[in-house]
Amino acid sequence: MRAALRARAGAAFLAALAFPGALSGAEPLPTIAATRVAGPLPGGPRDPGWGKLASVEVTLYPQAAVAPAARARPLALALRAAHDGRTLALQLAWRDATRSRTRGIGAFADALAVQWALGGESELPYVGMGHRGHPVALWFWRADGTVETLAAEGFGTLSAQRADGVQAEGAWHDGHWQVVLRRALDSAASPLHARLAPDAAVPVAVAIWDGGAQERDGTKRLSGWHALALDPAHAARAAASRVAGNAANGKRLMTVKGCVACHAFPGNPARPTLGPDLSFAGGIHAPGYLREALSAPDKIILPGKGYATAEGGTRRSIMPPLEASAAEREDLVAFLLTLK
Amino acid sequence: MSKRQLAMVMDLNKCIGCQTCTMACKTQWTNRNGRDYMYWNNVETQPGRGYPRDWRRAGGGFDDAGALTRGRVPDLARDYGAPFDLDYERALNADAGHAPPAFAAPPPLAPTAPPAYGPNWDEDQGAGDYPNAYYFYLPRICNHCSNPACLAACPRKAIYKREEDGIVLVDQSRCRGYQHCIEACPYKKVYFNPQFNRSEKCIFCYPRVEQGRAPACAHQCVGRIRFVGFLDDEDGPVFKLVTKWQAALPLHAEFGTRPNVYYVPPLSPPRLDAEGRPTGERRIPDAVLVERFGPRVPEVLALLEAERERKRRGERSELMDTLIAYRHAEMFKLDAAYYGAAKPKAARRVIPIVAERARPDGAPETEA
Repeated sequence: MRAALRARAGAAFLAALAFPGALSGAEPLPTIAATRVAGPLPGGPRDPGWGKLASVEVTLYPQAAVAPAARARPLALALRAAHDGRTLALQLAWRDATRSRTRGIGAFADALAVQWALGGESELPYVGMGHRGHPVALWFWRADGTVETLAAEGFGTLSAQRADGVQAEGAWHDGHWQVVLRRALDSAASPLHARLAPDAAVPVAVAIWDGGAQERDGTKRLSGWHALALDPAHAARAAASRVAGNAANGKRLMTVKGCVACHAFPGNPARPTLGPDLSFAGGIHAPGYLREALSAPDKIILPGKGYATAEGGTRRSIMPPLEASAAEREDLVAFLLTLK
Repeated sequence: MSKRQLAMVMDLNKCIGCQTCTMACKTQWTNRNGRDYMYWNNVETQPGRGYPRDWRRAGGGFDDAGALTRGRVPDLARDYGAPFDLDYERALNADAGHAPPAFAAPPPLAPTAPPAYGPNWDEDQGAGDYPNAYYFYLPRICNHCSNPACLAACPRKAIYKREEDGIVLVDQSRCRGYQHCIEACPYKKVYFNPQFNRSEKCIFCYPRVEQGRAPACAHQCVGRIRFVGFLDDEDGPVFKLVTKWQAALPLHAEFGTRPNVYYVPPLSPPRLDAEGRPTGERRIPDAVLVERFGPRVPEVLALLEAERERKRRGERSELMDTLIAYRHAEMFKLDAAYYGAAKPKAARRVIPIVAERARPDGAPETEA
């Protein structure tokens, strides 16, 4: 099944596109092209109409940087997107051997979140719930049938918003969840609602929780940012290349520059916990974020014991800004992108 | 840590296990809306498995290095004991169509489903063998800790400790039902409400306290075992028992949460030897009490015996007079006026709720 998904994914998965529109930071993001349908949109999660649409494989990586971390393997999620000019419909399918439908005392439901970047800024929100001044809008579906309209601008800030009209339906069959989310393109009634603009691609990310494995909160698997394009014109605007750095040299620089002293990642036998675990950093982070994290570590400081100090009222990361040449930076970014 | 701290002292020498506190709390707060299984206040027999079952071994709290440890969430049926209904239908209308033979015993009034556990499951069982069997009652509420593990475990900062009195509360608007707090509390005094999908716990009856009244459990206690007041109030009974006389001890201080409910450990009659003669040893082994209330137990018990002896001789003993609690009102030293001045409703937003507030340029802005 996975191979089949991959094969179909090839058609729609146009890797490394310049991010068009307002996000002039030109972050190259993998693009998801929504299919414009002339007739009615596919219906429920098991509507055979979905099978006629191309699917994109979105890899979800365990959230490893912030406690409580997920101890799970990366997972392939098949995403199909369609719109009819009025409504966007998404079908998301992933493997989950156990169906966990209800919440209760010590029990957690399977869940899915679709996260949209907000704001006409030149910078993407941090992929894990946004960051201060760079909020994200979320649709949160739970296997008990509920769906919420939420927003966040950093860890611990997730807040309920008035409903934006998103509807959700999930079906579990043969060890797989298939969930359909749909919302009118123009129903954003608040600055904290997802804006599904037909004239630009919208950054989107996905997360899932396996309730049966007690997953909730940051114990989740998430994707990096993708760009959802409603108009094929935006999906076709390909960018040249992503990162030209030498990953092998980047790996060497992880030791030379002292990164290994604080960060855990595969290949670092020390497993230090002074800074966030980088095990899946390449899977969830775009190159632009990684470049910035190296040069301006104070900008987004993850919550973690001892990750930051307060100097004169401002929080500072205990990580010093990287001192390195431009080439060395690109080598490090190239190596970090292999961590997934 | 809060500026001031409310605390409760419970004199275990006076607790008769009547559960009036439990009922006072339940009728006030937990007899409805998904809270039926919760006992914010419970009284358990020790030694015993307690409520929830084996809470003392369910994990949580801080390790010796000060790191938060994760425990488990108790199971509704096995550990809390699911509330059950009695099968009146069966007992009273035993199958009207097929009346039992006249000689058959009527079906007993029994739970609709056999319970596996309950909040007072092993009442009065205790430990030891006749004639030296022993037990004592241990009433428990949230300890409103100075270093709350529940608070430390919440990634959403939904749990907060009030500056003005140290009461620990769950902000229902922030809680998302992750239940980390339940795992983290070593006393297992945070509960998940399955109806609202959020955590709830003992609130130290703050609406009563703010009006100068003691929490319901303390006010209703017929044994007059519960003293309530600010730890730093030198005129209050709590200060006298905890700080001046140092006769009240925290429960399982080794959990590292710095609890603010203190217990006067129970004295007990002497052990009997094989011939039934009293020995010099106390019936409840010191080790049993030390395990729960720490190494100062023998010292406190000796103090209680000495002060009791003083009283017996007709001398004055401030400690005994305080513990006897001649006047109900003197057991509680609260102050409604203090709350009026301390502006307890001051905005407490550790992390702002992300709320819409459009900027003129149309970009979203969030509440700081």
